[in-house]
Amino acid sequence: MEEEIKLENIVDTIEETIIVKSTEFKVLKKEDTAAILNVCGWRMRVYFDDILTDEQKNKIINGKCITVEYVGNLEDVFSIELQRLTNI
Amino acid sequence: MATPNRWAIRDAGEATFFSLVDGHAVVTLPSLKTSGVSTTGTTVYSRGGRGNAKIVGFSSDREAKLKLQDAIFDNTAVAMLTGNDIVTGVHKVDIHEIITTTSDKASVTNTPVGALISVYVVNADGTNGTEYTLGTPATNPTEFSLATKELTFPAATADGTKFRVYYYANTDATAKTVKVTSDMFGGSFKVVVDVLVVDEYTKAAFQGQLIIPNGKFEDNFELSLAATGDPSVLDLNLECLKSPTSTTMWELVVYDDALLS
Repeated sequence: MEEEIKLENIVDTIEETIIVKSTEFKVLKKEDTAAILNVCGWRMRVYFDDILTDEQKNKIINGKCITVEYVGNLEDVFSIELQRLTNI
Repeated sequence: MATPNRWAIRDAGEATFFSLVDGHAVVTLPSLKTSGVSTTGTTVYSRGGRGNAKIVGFSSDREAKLKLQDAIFDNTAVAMLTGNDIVTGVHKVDIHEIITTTSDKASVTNTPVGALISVYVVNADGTNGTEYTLGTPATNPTEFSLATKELTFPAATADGTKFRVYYYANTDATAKTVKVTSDMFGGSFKVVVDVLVVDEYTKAAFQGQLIIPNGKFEDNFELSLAATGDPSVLDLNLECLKSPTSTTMWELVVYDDALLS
């Protein structure tokens, strides 16, 4: 019986695994260390990772879209956490 | 008392607008500051003879304009001016307010509709400072989270920190909306201006009624807002049109209201 409970716990853990998705967001304002994006009408920051080169940062232009990884559900903007930008 | 032959007037009067379609009264403006009708025409002359003097004048192009200035903005009057009906009901409006944090939290007065437009920390001089965005205040120093009306800021935010929040909120259902649109223009109405006149001889007061059978709102109008000087006024300018059944552009009736039948 104890064994079964442990298995259920393992299954629960697997179901809670964070799924990272990605999609394009429009850049509203580029800053030194981040860019403010339009995420479902809200202004949210995506932070530049240290590995992002200046050349890559130069590709971030106001009004253009960039692909950003996030966790959460786009239908619930409060669940969204934008991941640090490591590539572009 | 006999209606006077000579009279004085010092009154802006009360203007009432009537529908030309079914004759119903649309609105009465009892707070006019000024009113008046200006009448113009064009005369061209035959000239000739030695000195090319004017010999015969031909008059035409009769025009009349009614100018009203109201101290009060009446929604119905503005709607007539714009050609659009007043819409009564909930309307989304822009709000901006300054909120002050206590224990990293602060609430806006109204329930935001949709996304907050912008959130800025307020600098000491009152200007907008760093922009705060929706996110995770626990880990990012320039982010906030929102629950209904309450914003939560990073834990390091000092009590008393001010933020300026821009957002949309809904009005109540009694809000009235008047708008100018590209496809609608001011309409035509019968206008009656009731004024008070005084007999020069007896000094008795009489009623005067300026009647414009067909007045068309001019399409140019201004809404002036100023922080100084006199309060803003509502200017209503109408072009007097000719009726298809009459040559009367406007008429003034002076009468004794005590003798009305």
